Amino acid sequence: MSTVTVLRVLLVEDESIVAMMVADLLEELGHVVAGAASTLEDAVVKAASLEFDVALLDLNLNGRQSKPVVAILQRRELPFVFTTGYGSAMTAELAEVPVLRKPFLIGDLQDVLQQAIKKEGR
Amino acid sequence: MTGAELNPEALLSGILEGIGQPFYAVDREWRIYLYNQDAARHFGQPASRMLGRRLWDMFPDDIHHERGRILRDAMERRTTVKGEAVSIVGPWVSYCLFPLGDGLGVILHDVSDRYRAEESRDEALGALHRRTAELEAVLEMIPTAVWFTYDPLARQIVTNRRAAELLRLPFGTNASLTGPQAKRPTFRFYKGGQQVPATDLPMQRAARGEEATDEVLELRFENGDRKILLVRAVTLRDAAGAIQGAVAAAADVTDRHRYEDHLRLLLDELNHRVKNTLAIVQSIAYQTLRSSGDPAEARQRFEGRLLALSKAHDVLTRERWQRASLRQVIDEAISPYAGTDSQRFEVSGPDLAVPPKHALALAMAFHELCANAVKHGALSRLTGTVGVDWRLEERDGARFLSLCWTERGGPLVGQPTRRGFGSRLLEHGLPQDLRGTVRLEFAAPGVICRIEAPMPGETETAIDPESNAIPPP
Repeated sequence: MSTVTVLRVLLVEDESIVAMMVADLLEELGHVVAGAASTLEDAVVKAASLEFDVALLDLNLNGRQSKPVVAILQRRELPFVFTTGYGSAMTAELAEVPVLRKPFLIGDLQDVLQQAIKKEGR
Repeated sequence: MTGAELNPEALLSGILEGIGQPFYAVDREWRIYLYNQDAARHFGQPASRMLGRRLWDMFPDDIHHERGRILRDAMERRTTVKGEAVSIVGPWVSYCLFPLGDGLGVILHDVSDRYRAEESRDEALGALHRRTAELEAVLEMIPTAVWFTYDPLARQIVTNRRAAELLRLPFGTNASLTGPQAKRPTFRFYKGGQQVPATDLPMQRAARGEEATDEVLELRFENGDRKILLVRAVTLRDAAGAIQGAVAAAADVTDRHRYEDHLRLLLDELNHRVKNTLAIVQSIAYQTLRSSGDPAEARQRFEGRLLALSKAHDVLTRERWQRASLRQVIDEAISPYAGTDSQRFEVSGPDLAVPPKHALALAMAFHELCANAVKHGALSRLTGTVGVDWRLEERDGARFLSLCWTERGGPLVGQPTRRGFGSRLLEHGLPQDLRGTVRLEFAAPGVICRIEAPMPGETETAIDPESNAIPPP
Protein backbone atom coordinates (compact mmCIF):
# COMPACT_ATOMS: atom_id res chain seq x y z
CA MET A 1 0.00 0.00 0.00
CA SER A 2 1.13 3.54 -0.71
CA THR A 3 1.31 4.56 2.95
CA VAL A 4 4.39 2.41 3.54
CA THR A 5 6.22 3.59 0.42
CA VAL A 6 9.30 5.62 1.30
CA LEU A 7 10.04 7.95 -1.55
CA ARG A 8 13.34 9.58 -2.38
CA VAL A 9 12.38 13.08 -3.48
CA LEU A 10 14.27 15.68 -5.50
CA LEU A 11 13.09 19.05 -4.17
CA VAL A 12 13.38 21.96 -6.62
CA GLU A 13 12.16 25.19 -5.00
CA ASP A 14 13.64 28.68 -5.34
CA GLU A 15 12.08 30.11 -2.19
CA SER A 16 14.37 28.91 0.60
CA ILE A 17 11.87 29.42 3.42
CA VAL A 18 9.29 27.36 1.53
CA ALA A 19 11.89 24.71 0.70
CA MET A 20 12.64 24.32 4.43
CA MET A 21 9.01 23.59 5.19
CA VAL A 22 8.58 21.18 2.28
CA ALA A 23 11.69 19.28 3.42
CA ASP A 24 10.22 19.03 6.92
CA LEU A 25 6.84 17.92 5.60
CA LEU A 26 8.46 15.23 3.45
CA GLU A 27 10.31 13.94 6.49
CA GLU A 28 7.10 14.04 8.48
CA LEU A 29 5.51 11.87 5.77
CA GLY A 30 8.38 9.43 6.07
CA HIS A 31 10.02 10.34 2.78
CA VAL A 32 13.64 11.26 2.14
CA VAL A 33 14.95 14.40 0.48
CA ALA A 34 17.40 12.94 -2.04
CA GLY A 35 18.52 16.39 -3.11
CA ALA A 36 17.46 20.01 -3.11
CA ALA A 37 18.00 22.71 -5.73
CA SER A 38 17.03 26.37 -5.80
CA THR A 39 18.35 27.41 -9.20
CA LEU A 40 17.70 26.12 -12.69
CA GLU A 41 21.37 25.22 -13.21
CA ASP A 42 21.55 23.27 -9.95
CA ALA A 43 18.22 21.57 -10.69
CA VAL A 44 19.39 20.44 -14.13
CA VAL A 45 22.55 18.90 -12.68
CA LYS A 46 20.74 17.17 -9.82
CA ALA A 47 17.85 15.94 -11.97
CA ALA A 48 20.36 14.32 -14.32
CA SER A 49 22.70 12.81 -11.73
CA LEU A 50 20.89 11.96 -8.47
CA GLU A 51 18.99 8.81 -7.65
CA PHE A 52 15.39 9.57 -6.65
CA ASP A 53 11.85 8.27 -7.14
CA VAL A 54 9.95 11.49 -7.77
CA ALA A 55 10.66 15.21 -8.21
CA LEU A 56 8.82 18.18 -6.76
CA LEU A 57 9.45 20.83 -9.38
CA ASP A 58 8.71 24.56 -9.04
CA LEU A 59 7.44 25.75 -12.44
CA ASN A 60 9.10 29.11 -12.03
CA LEU A 61 12.70 29.34 -10.82
CA ASN A 62 13.69 32.96 -10.20
CA GLY A 63 11.58 34.05 -13.14
CA ARG A 64 12.70 31.24 -15.43
CA GLN A 65 10.57 28.29 -16.56
CA SER A 66 11.82 24.95 -15.33
CA LYS A 67 11.25 23.25 -18.71
CA PRO A 68 14.87 22.07 -19.14
CA VAL A 69 14.43 20.04 -15.93
CA VAL A 70 11.19 18.55 -17.32
CA ALA A 71 13.06 17.34 -20.40
CA ILE A 72 15.64 15.54 -18.26
CA LEU A 73 13.01 13.93 -16.02
CA GLN A 74 11.06 12.75 -19.07
CA ARG A 75 14.18 11.30 -20.62
CA ARG A 76 14.95 9.45 -17.37
CA GLU A 77 11.27 8.44 -17.17
CA LEU A 78 11.07 9.72 -13.62
CA PRO A 79 7.71 10.97 -12.30
CA PHE A 80 7.35 14.57 -11.19
CA VAL A 81 4.91 17.03 -9.66
CA PHE A 82 4.71 20.73 -10.51
CA THR A 83 4.51 23.16 -7.63
CA THR A 84 3.29 26.64 -8.44
CA GLY A 85 1.79 29.75 -6.89
CA TYR A 86 -0.64 30.32 -9.73
CA GLY A 87 -2.05 28.52 -12.74
CA SER A 88 0.48 29.47 -15.35
CA ALA A 89 -0.10 28.38 -18.92
CA MET A 90 0.99 24.81 -19.29
CA THR A 91 1.55 23.17 -22.63
CA ALA A 92 -0.94 20.51 -23.67
CA GLU A 93 1.51 17.60 -23.38
CA LEU A 94 2.19 18.55 -19.73
CA ALA A 95 -1.48 18.96 -18.79
CA GLU A 96 -1.43 15.46 -17.24
CA VAL A 97 1.33 16.28 -14.76
CA PRO A 98 -0.04 16.58 -11.20
CA VAL A 99 0.08 20.15 -9.85
CA LEU A 100 0.53 21.19 -6.23
CA ARG A 101 -0.66 24.74 -5.66
CA LYS A 102 1.08 26.77 -2.97
CA PRO A 103 0.21 27.15 -0.17
CA PHE A 104 -0.85 23.54 0.47
CA LEU A 105 -1.65 21.04 3.21
CA ILE A 106 0.54 18.08 4.13
CA GLY A 107 -2.22 15.78 2.89
CA ASP A 108 -2.17 17.45 -0.53
CA LEU A 109 1.58 16.84 -0.75
CA GLN A 110 1.16 13.15 -0.03
CA ASP A 111 -1.73 12.86 -2.52
CA VAL A 112 0.14 14.39 -5.48
CA LEU A 113 3.24 12.30 -4.79
CA GLN A 114 1.14 9.13 -4.83
CA GLN A 115 -0.64 10.34 -7.96
CA ALA A 116 2.67 10.90 -9.73
CA ILE A 117 4.00 7.48 -8.72
CA LYS A 118 0.82 5.70 -9.80
CA LYS A 119 0.75 7.37 -13.19
CA GLU A 120 4.28 6.21 -13.80
CA GLY A 121 3.52 2.64 -12.70
CA ARG A 122 0.73 2.29 -15.24
CA MET B 1 -71.89 81.07 -88.97
CA THR B 2 -68.34 82.45 -89.35
CA GLY B 3 -66.46 84.52 -86.75
CA ALA B 4 -66.89 87.61 -88.87
CA GLU B 5 -70.62 87.22 -88.54
CA LEU B 6 -70.54 87.42 -84.72
CA ASN B 7 -71.34 90.75 -83.21
CA PRO B 8 -68.14 92.49 -82.03
CA GLU B 9 -69.09 92.43 -78.36
CA ALA B 10 -69.73 88.70 -78.34
CA LEU B 11 -66.49 88.21 -80.24
CA LEU B 12 -64.48 90.30 -77.74
CA SER B 13 -66.05 88.60 -74.77
CA GLY B 14 -65.35 85.19 -76.34
CA ILE B 15 -61.71 86.07 -76.89
CA LEU B 16 -61.39 87.70 -73.48
CA GLU B 17 -62.59 84.65 -71.59
CA GLY B 18 -61.08 82.18 -74.05
CA ILE B 19 -57.51 83.31 -73.33
CA GLY B 20 -57.69 81.27 -70.20
CA GLN B 21 -55.22 83.57 -68.40
CA PRO B 22 -55.75 86.75 -66.38
CA PHE B 23 -56.06 89.62 -68.87
CA TYR B 24 -56.88 93.30 -68.55
CA ALA B 25 -56.43 96.44 -70.63
CA VAL B 26 -55.92 100.08 -69.63
CA ASP B 27 -56.16 103.24 -71.69
CA ARG B 28 -53.63 106.04 -71.86
CA GLU B 29 -54.98 107.31 -68.51
CA TRP B 30 -54.50 103.83 -66.87
CA ARG B 31 -58.25 103.42 -66.74
CA ILE B 32 -59.26 99.74 -66.85
CA TYR B 33 -61.65 98.98 -69.66
CA LEU B 34 -61.20 95.25 -70.23
CA TYR B 35 -60.96 92.72 -67.37
CA ASN B 36 -61.70 88.99 -67.74
CA GLN B 37 -62.93 86.37 -65.23
CA ASP B 38 -59.40 84.93 -64.79
CA ALA B 39 -58.17 88.43 -63.86
CA ALA B 40 -61.00 88.69 -61.32
CA ARG B 41 -59.91 85.37 -59.79
CA HIS B 42 -56.24 86.37 -59.88
CA PHE B 43 -56.70 89.77 -58.22
CA GLY B 44 -59.63 88.67 -56.06
CA GLN B 45 -61.65 91.64 -57.31
CA PRO B 46 -64.82 91.40 -59.47
CA ALA B 47 -64.98 93.16 -62.84
CA SER B 48 -67.74 95.41 -61.47
CA ARG B 49 -65.25 97.00 -59.04
CA MET B 50 -62.40 97.31 -61.51
CA LEU B 51 -63.88 98.44 -64.82
CA GLY B 52 -63.67 102.20 -65.31
CA ARG B 53 -61.24 102.66 -62.40
CA ARG B 54 -57.66 103.83 -62.71
CA LEU B 55 -55.13 101.08 -62.10
CA TRP B 56 -53.18 103.19 -59.57
CA ASP B 57 -56.33 103.92 -57.59
CA MET B 58 -56.91 100.22 -57.21
CA PHE B 59 -53.24 99.37 -56.53
CA PRO B 60 -51.76 102.60 -55.16
CA ASP B 61 -48.60 100.83 -53.79
CA ASP B 62 -47.63 99.72 -57.30
CA ILE B 63 -46.77 103.27 -58.42
CA HIS B 64 -43.52 103.09 -56.51
CA HIS B 65 -42.92 99.41 -57.11
CA GLU B 66 -40.82 97.77 -59.79
CA ARG B 67 -44.10 96.57 -61.33
CA GLY B 68 -45.27 100.17 -61.71
CA ARG B 69 -42.01 101.12 -63.41
CA ILE B 70 -42.30 98.23 -65.87
CA LEU B 71 -45.91 99.19 -66.69
CA ARG B 72 -45.08 102.90 -67.18
CA ASP B 73 -42.05 102.02 -69.27
CA ALA B 74 -44.15 99.79 -71.55
CA MET B 75 -46.76 102.56 -71.86
CA GLU B 76 -44.07 105.07 -72.89
CA ARG B 77 -42.10 102.91 -75.30
CA ARG B 78 -45.16 101.38 -76.94
CA THR B 79 -43.45 98.01 -77.30
CA THR B 80 -44.28 94.52 -76.14
CA VAL B 81 -42.54 93.68 -72.85
CA LYS B 82 -42.29 90.16 -71.45
CA GLY B 83 -40.88 89.02 -68.18
CA GLU B 84 -41.50 87.41 -64.83
CA ALA B 85 -42.26 89.12 -61.57
CA VAL B 86 -44.02 88.66 -58.30
CA SER B 87 -47.66 89.66 -58.70
CA ILE B 88 -49.16 92.23 -56.38
CA VAL B 89 -51.34 89.48 -54.97
CA GLY B 90 -48.40 87.19 -54.28
CA PRO B 91 -47.62 84.45 -56.77
CA TRP B 92 -44.92 84.50 -59.39
CA VAL B 93 -46.35 85.45 -62.81
CA SER B 94 -44.98 85.72 -66.29
CA TYR B 95 -46.34 88.85 -67.90
CA CYS B 96 -46.83 90.13 -71.42
CA LEU B 97 -47.46 93.87 -71.79
CA PHE B 98 -48.36 95.00 -75.30
CA PRO B 99 -49.60 98.25 -76.81
CA LEU B 100 -53.37 98.16 -77.28
CA GLY B 101 -54.90 101.28 -78.76
CA ASP B 102 -53.30 104.19 -76.90
CA GLY B 103 -53.02 102.08 -73.79
CA LEU B 104 -51.73 98.66 -72.75
CA GLY B 105 -52.97 95.10 -72.80
CA VAL B 106 -51.73 92.90 -69.97
CA ILE B 107 -51.69 89.09 -70.00
CA LEU B 108 -50.51 87.35 -66.85
CA HIS B 109 -49.64 83.69 -66.39
CA ASP B 110 -49.33 82.21 -62.90
CA VAL B 111 -46.00 80.32 -62.81
CA SER B 112 -45.78 79.88 -59.05
CA ASP B 113 -46.15 76.07 -59.34
CA ARG B 114 -43.13 75.96 -61.60
CA TYR B 115 -41.28 78.27 -59.24
CA ARG B 116 -42.18 76.18 -56.25
CA ALA B 117 -40.97 73.03 -58.02
CA GLU B 118 -37.73 74.74 -58.99
CA GLU B 119 -37.25 76.08 -55.50
CA SER B 120 -37.82 72.75 -53.86
CA ARG B 121 -35.52 71.10 -56.38
CA ASP B 122 -32.85 73.70 -55.63
CA GLU B 123 -33.42 73.20 -51.94
CA ALA B 124 -33.16 69.44 -52.28
CA LEU B 125 -29.99 69.74 -54.33
CA GLY B 126 -28.56 72.22 -51.83
CA ALA B 127 -29.40 69.92 -48.95
CA LEU B 128 -27.86 67.00 -50.79
CA HIS B 129 -24.69 68.97 -51.42
CA ARG B 130 -24.58 70.04 -47.79
CA ARG B 131 -25.10 66.48 -46.59
CA THR B 132 -22.44 65.19 -48.95
CA ALA B 133 -20.01 67.87 -47.80
CA GLU B 134 -20.84 67.12 -44.15
CA LEU B 135 -20.39 63.41 -44.71
CA GLU B 136 -17.07 63.96 -46.48
CA ALA B 137 -15.88 66.22 -43.69
CA VAL B 138 -16.92 63.66 -41.08
CA LEU B 139 -15.26 60.82 -43.00
CA GLU B 140 -12.11 62.90 -43.25
CA MET B 141 -12.13 63.89 -39.60
CA ILE B 142 -13.20 60.84 -37.59
CA PRO B 143 -10.44 58.65 -36.17
CA THR B 144 -12.25 55.64 -37.56
CA ALA B 145 -11.44 53.79 -40.73
CA VAL B 146 -14.45 53.62 -43.07
CA TRP B 147 -14.86 51.83 -46.36
CA PHE B 148 -17.72 51.44 -48.84
CA THR B 149 -18.74 49.19 -51.66
CA TYR B 150 -21.54 49.47 -54.16
CA ASP B 151 -21.54 45.98 -55.60
CA PRO B 152 -22.74 42.74 -54.02
CA LEU B 153 -19.36 41.01 -54.43
CA ALA B 154 -17.51 44.01 -52.98
CA ARG B 155 -15.04 43.96 -55.85
CA GLN B 156 -14.48 47.68 -55.57
CA ILE B 157 -13.99 49.10 -52.08
CA VAL B 158 -13.32 52.80 -51.55
CA THR B 159 -11.96 54.05 -48.25
CA ASN B 160 -11.58 57.24 -46.30
CA ARG B 161 -8.09 58.56 -45.63
CA ARG B 162 -7.90 56.96 -42.17
CA ALA B 163 -8.74 53.54 -43.61
CA ALA B 164 -6.10 53.94 -46.30
CA GLU B 165 -3.56 54.77 -43.59
CA LEU B 166 -4.66 51.85 -41.45
CA LEU B 167 -4.49 49.41 -44.36
CA ARG B 168 -1.23 51.00 -45.56
CA LEU B 169 -2.66 51.68 -49.02
CA PRO B 170 -2.26 54.85 -51.09
CA PHE B 171 -5.41 56.95 -50.58
CA GLY B 172 -7.84 56.16 -53.38
CA THR B 173 -6.69 52.57 -53.94
CA ASN B 174 -9.22 49.75 -54.21
CA ALA B 175 -9.01 48.01 -50.84
CA SER B 176 -10.97 44.93 -51.87
CA LEU B 177 -9.53 41.45 -51.35
CA THR B 178 -12.23 40.15 -53.68
CA GLY B 179 -11.36 42.68 -56.41
CA PRO B 180 -9.42 42.14 -59.65
CA GLN B 181 -6.68 39.60 -58.95
CA ALA B 182 -3.73 41.68 -60.10
CA LYS B 183 -4.55 44.70 -57.94
CA ARG B 184 -5.43 43.05 -54.66
CA PRO B 185 -3.78 44.37 -51.49
CA THR B 186 -1.32 42.01 -49.80
CA PHE B 187 -2.64 42.23 -46.23
CA ARG B 188 -4.72 39.41 -44.80
CA PHE B 189 -7.22 39.08 -41.98
CA TYR B 190 -7.07 36.46 -39.22
CA LYS B 191 -9.48 35.35 -36.56
CA GLY B 192 -8.43 33.03 -33.74
CA GLY B 193 -5.17 32.35 -35.59
CA GLN B 194 -6.97 31.23 -38.76
CA GLN B 195 -6.96 33.24 -41.96
CA VAL B 196 -10.42 34.54 -42.84
CA PRO B 197 -11.35 33.82 -46.49
CA ALA B 198 -11.87 37.11 -48.36
CA THR B 199 -15.49 36.23 -49.13
CA ASP B 200 -16.22 35.82 -45.39
CA LEU B 201 -14.94 39.26 -44.36
CA PRO B 202 -17.52 41.58 -42.71
CA MET B 203 -17.73 43.86 -45.78
CA GLN B 204 -18.24 41.03 -48.22
CA ARG B 205 -20.91 39.49 -45.99
CA ALA B 206 -22.72 42.79 -45.45
CA ALA B 207 -22.71 43.37 -49.24
CA ARG B 208 -24.62 40.08 -49.53
CA GLY B 209 -27.09 41.26 -46.90
CA GLU B 210 -25.65 39.30 -43.96
CA GLU B 211 -25.01 40.58 -40.44
CA ALA B 212 -21.50 41.63 -39.46
CA THR B 213 -21.31 43.46 -36.14
CA ASP B 214 -18.37 44.05 -33.82
CA GLU B 215 -15.96 41.47 -35.09
CA VAL B 216 -12.44 41.43 -33.74
CA LEU B 217 -10.04 40.70 -36.57
CA GLU B 218 -6.29 40.60 -36.72
CA LEU B 219 -4.85 42.46 -39.67
CA ARG B 220 -1.52 41.04 -40.82
CA PHE B 221 0.78 42.76 -43.27
CA GLU B 222 3.32 41.13 -45.54
CA ASN B 223 6.22 42.32 -43.37
CA GLY B 224 4.73 40.58 -40.33
CA ASP B 225 3.26 43.66 -38.65
CA ARG B 226 -0.05 43.05 -36.93
CA LYS B 227 -2.97 45.15 -35.81
CA ILE B 228 -6.15 44.27 -33.99
CA LEU B 229 -9.30 45.77 -35.51
CA LEU B 230 -12.84 45.98 -34.27
CA VAL B 231 -14.94 45.87 -37.46
CA ARG B 232 -18.61 46.53 -38.05
CA ALA B 233 -20.29 46.41 -41.46
CA VAL B 234 -23.87 47.15 -42.48
CA THR B 235 -25.81 46.56 -45.67
CA LEU B 236 -26.87 49.67 -47.62
CA ARG B 237 -30.37 49.33 -49.08
CA ASP B 238 -32.52 51.64 -51.17
CA ALA B 239 -36.04 52.71 -50.18
CA ALA B 240 -37.48 49.56 -51.69
CA GLY B 241 -35.09 47.39 -49.65
CA ALA B 242 -32.86 46.32 -52.54
CA ILE B 243 -29.15 45.96 -51.63
CA GLN B 244 -27.09 48.91 -52.85
CA GLY B 245 -23.79 47.94 -51.23
CA ALA B 246 -22.27 48.04 -47.78
CA VAL B 247 -20.35 50.30 -45.48
CA ALA B 248 -17.86 49.18 -42.84
CA ALA B 249 -16.13 50.96 -39.99
CA ALA B 250 -13.05 49.69 -38.20
CA ALA B 251 -11.38 50.88 -35.01
CA ASP B 252 -7.74 50.09 -34.33
CA VAL B 253 -7.88 48.44 -30.90
CA THR B 254 -4.29 47.17 -30.96
CA ASP B 255 -3.21 49.36 -28.04
CA ARG B 256 -6.24 48.38 -26.01
CA HIS B 257 -5.53 44.70 -26.61
CA ARG B 258 -1.88 45.17 -25.66
CA TYR B 259 -2.94 46.99 -22.53
CA GLU B 260 -5.38 44.23 -21.63
CA ASP B 261 -2.68 41.61 -22.21
CA HIS B 262 -0.31 43.60 -20.04
CA LEU B 263 -2.96 43.88 -17.34
CA ARG B 264 -3.58 40.13 -17.46
CA LEU B 265 0.15 39.56 -17.11
CA LEU B 266 0.30 41.91 -14.14
CA LEU B 267 -2.64 40.14 -12.52
CA ASP B 268 -0.98 36.76 -13.03
CA GLU B 269 2.19 38.17 -11.54
CA LEU B 270 0.33 39.64 -8.59
CA ASN B 271 -1.45 36.35 -8.03
CA HIS B 272 1.86 34.54 -8.15
CA ARG B 273 3.40 36.87 -5.57
CA VAL B 274 0.40 36.63 -3.26
CA LYS B 275 0.42 32.84 -3.38
CA ASN B 276 4.17 32.76 -2.99
CA THR B 277 3.98 35.07 0.01
CA LEU B 278 1.23 32.94 1.53
CA ALA B 279 3.47 29.88 1.11
CA ILE B 280 6.29 31.75 2.88
CA VAL B 281 3.91 32.72 5.68
CA GLN B 282 2.73 29.12 5.91
CA SER B 283 6.32 27.96 6.16
CA ILE B 284 7.18 30.52 8.83
CA ALA B 285 4.09 29.54 10.83
CA TYR B 286 4.85 25.83 10.48
CA GLN B 287 8.46 26.16 11.57
CA THR B 288 7.77 28.65 14.37
CA LEU B 289 5.03 26.51 15.90
CA ARG B 290 6.90 23.21 15.71
CA SER B 291 10.04 24.55 17.43
CA SER B 292 8.40 26.58 20.21
CA GLY B 293 6.95 24.90 23.25
CA ASP B 294 5.29 27.95 24.76
CA PRO B 295 2.26 29.22 22.78
CA ALA B 296 2.73 32.84 23.95
CA GLU B 297 6.36 32.81 22.87
CA ALA B 298 5.46 31.13 19.56
CA ARG B 299 2.89 33.81 18.87
CA GLN B 300 5.39 36.58 19.61
CA ARG B 301 8.00 35.03 17.36
CA PHE B 302 5.54 34.44 14.55
CA GLU B 303 4.35 38.05 14.71
CA GLY B 304 7.92 39.34 14.70
CA ARG B 305 8.73 37.29 11.59
CA LEU B 306 5.51 38.31 9.84
CA LEU B 307 6.29 41.96 10.56
CA ALA B 308 9.82 41.58 9.19
CA LEU B 309 8.41 40.08 5.98
CA SER B 310 5.86 42.88 5.74
CA LYS B 311 8.51 45.59 6.15
CA ALA B 312 10.68 44.04 3.47
CA HIS B 313 7.65 44.18 1.18
CA ASP B 314 7.26 47.88 2.01
CA VAL B 315 10.82 48.59 0.96
CA LEU B 316 10.35 46.63 -2.26
CA THR B 317 7.01 48.21 -3.08
CA ARG B 318 8.62 51.65 -2.90
CA GLU B 319 10.89 50.58 -5.75
CA ARG B 320 8.13 48.79 -7.66
CA TRP B 321 9.59 45.36 -6.83
CA GLN B 322 12.58 45.94 -9.03
CA ARG B 323 15.28 46.51 -6.41
CA ALA B 324 15.68 47.69 -2.85
CA SER B 325 18.18 49.81 -1.01
CA LEU B 326 20.36 47.64 1.25
CA ARG B 327 20.53 50.50 3.75
CA GLN B 328 16.73 50.72 3.92
CA VAL B 329 16.37 46.96 4.29
CA ILE B 330 18.76 46.99 7.25
CA ASP B 331 17.20 50.12 8.83
CA GLU B 332 13.69 48.65 8.61
CA ALA B 333 14.82 45.34 10.09
CA ILE B 334 16.62 46.82 13.08
CA SER B 335 14.22 49.71 13.78
CA PRO B 336 11.99 47.73 16.22
CA TYR B 337 15.11 46.91 18.27
CA ALA B 338 17.01 50.19 17.97
CA GLY B 339 14.41 52.00 20.04
CA THR B 340 15.14 55.63 20.92
CA ASP B 341 18.76 54.84 21.76
CA SER B 342 20.56 55.17 18.45
CA GLN B 343 23.84 54.08 20.12
CA ARG B 344 22.91 50.40 20.11
CA PHE B 345 23.54 49.92 16.41
CA GLU B 346 26.50 51.10 14.41
CA VAL B 347 25.53 50.76 10.78
CA SER B 348 28.07 51.65 8.11
CA GLY B 349 28.52 50.83 4.47
CA PRO B 350 27.82 52.19 1.00
CA ASP B 351 24.20 52.11 -0.02
CA LEU B 352 23.54 49.81 -2.93
CA ALA B 353 20.61 48.36 -4.79
CA VAL B 354 19.90 44.69 -4.20
CA PRO B 355 17.47 42.44 -6.13
CA PRO B 356 14.07 41.67 -4.53
CA LYS B 357 15.00 38.12 -3.57
CA HIS B 358 18.16 39.32 -1.78
CA ALA B 359 16.21 42.05 -0.02
CA LEU B 360 13.62 39.61 1.35
CA ALA B 361 16.23 37.09 2.45
CA LEU B 362 18.40 39.74 4.15
CA ALA B 363 15.40 41.33 5.88
CA MET B 364 14.35 37.98 7.33
CA ALA B 365 17.96 37.20 8.32
CA PHE B 366 18.48 40.52 10.13
CA HIS B 367 15.23 40.02 11.95
CA GLU B 368 16.42 36.64 13.23
CA LEU B 369 19.80 38.10 14.27
CA CYS B 370 18.06 40.96 16.12
CA ALA B 371 15.57 38.67 17.84
CA ASN B 372 18.40 36.40 18.98
CA ALA B 373 20.50 39.36 20.17
CA VAL B 374 17.61 40.65 22.28
CA LYS B 375 16.98 37.25 23.81
CA HIS B 376 20.46 35.87 24.33
CA GLY B 377 23.04 38.30 22.90
CA ALA B 378 24.32 41.85 23.10
CA LEU B 379 20.92 43.51 23.13
CA SER B 380 19.92 41.58 26.26
CA ARG B 381 22.34 43.87 28.18
CA LEU B 382 21.97 47.63 28.55
CA THR B 383 25.54 48.21 27.41
CA GLY B 384 25.63 45.78 24.48
CA THR B 385 26.00 47.08 20.93
CA VAL B 386 25.73 45.65 17.45
CA GLY B 387 27.88 46.66 14.50
CA VAL B 388 26.66 46.15 10.95
CA ASP B 389 29.42 46.90 8.44
CA TRP B 390 29.61 46.09 4.79
CA ARG B 391 31.61 46.91 1.74
CA LEU B 392 31.54 46.14 -1.95
CA GLU B 393 34.55 44.25 -3.28
CA GLU B 394 35.78 43.46 -6.75
CA ARG B 395 36.88 39.87 -7.23
CA ASP B 396 37.86 38.70 -10.70
CA GLY B 397 35.74 41.45 -12.24
CA ALA B 398 32.65 40.46 -10.24
CA ARG B 399 31.14 42.49 -7.41
CA PHE B 400 30.95 40.90 -3.98
CA LEU B 401 29.08 42.08 -0.94
CA SER B 402 30.98 41.44 2.25
CA LEU B 403 28.85 42.09 5.34
CA CYS B 404 29.56 41.52 8.98
CA TRP B 405 27.21 41.51 11.96
CA THR B 406 29.24 41.89 15.17
CA GLU B 407 27.79 41.84 18.70
CA ARG B 408 29.77 43.43 21.52
CA GLY B 409 29.24 43.88 25.23
CA GLY B 410 26.78 41.11 25.62
CA PRO B 411 26.88 38.10 27.94
CA LEU B 412 29.24 35.27 27.14
CA VAL B 413 27.61 33.20 24.44
CA GLY B 414 28.10 29.54 23.80
CA GLN B 415 26.94 27.24 21.02
CA PRO B 416 23.14 27.00 21.11
CA THR B 417 21.85 23.65 22.21
CA ARG B 418 19.13 23.59 19.59
CA ARG B 419 19.07 24.75 15.96
CA GLY B 420 15.80 26.60 15.45
CA PHE B 421 14.22 28.37 12.53
CA GLY B 422 16.58 31.34 12.99
CA SER B 423 19.86 29.50 12.61
CA ARG B 424 18.44 27.30 9.89
CA LEU B 425 17.35 30.36 7.95
CA LEU B 426 20.74 32.01 8.40
CA GLU B 427 22.88 28.95 7.65
CA HIS B 428 20.83 27.29 4.91
CA GLY B 429 18.19 29.65 3.53
CA LEU B 430 20.26 32.81 3.30
CA PRO B 431 23.25 31.33 1.42
CA GLN B 432 20.85 29.67 -0.96
CA ASP B 433 18.93 32.88 -1.68
CA LEU B 434 22.11 34.96 -1.96
CA ARG B 435 24.08 32.21 -3.72
CA GLY B 436 26.80 33.11 -1.27
CA THR B 437 28.23 31.99 2.04
CA VAL B 438 27.13 32.71 5.59
CA ARG B 439 29.28 32.01 8.62
CA LEU B 440 27.59 32.18 11.98
CA GLU B 441 29.98 32.20 14.98
CA PHE B 442 28.83 31.99 18.54
CA ALA B 443 32.07 33.53 19.79
CA ALA B 444 32.82 34.49 23.38
CA PRO B 445 32.58 38.31 22.94
CA GLY B 446 29.34 37.97 21.04
CA VAL B 447 27.68 36.54 17.92
CA ILE B 448 29.41 37.23 14.61
CA CYS B 449 27.69 36.62 11.31
CA ARG B 450 29.69 37.02 8.09
CA ILE B 451 27.80 37.19 4.83
CA GLU B 452 29.50 37.09 1.46
CA ALA B 453 27.54 37.12 -1.76
CA PRO B 454 28.07 38.01 -5.39
CA MET B 455 26.08 41.07 -6.41
CA PRO B 456 24.44 41.30 -9.81
CA GLY B 457 25.92 44.07 -12.01
CA GLU B 458 24.30 47.48 -12.33
CA THR B 459 22.73 46.49 -15.61
CA GLU B 460 20.85 43.64 -13.97
CA THR B 461 19.49 45.62 -11.04
CA ALA B 462 18.92 49.00 -12.67
CA ILE B 463 15.76 48.26 -14.60
CA ASP B 464 14.30 51.05 -16.69
CA PRO B 465 11.32 52.26 -14.63
CA GLU B 466 9.42 53.11 -17.85
CA SER B 467 9.85 49.64 -19.23
CA ASN B 468 6.83 47.36 -19.18
CA ALA B 469 8.97 44.34 -18.48
CA ILE B 470 7.93 42.48 -15.39
CA PRO B 471 10.82 41.60 -13.15
CA PRO B 472 11.00 38.02 -11.94
CA PRO B 473 9.31 37.46 -8.59
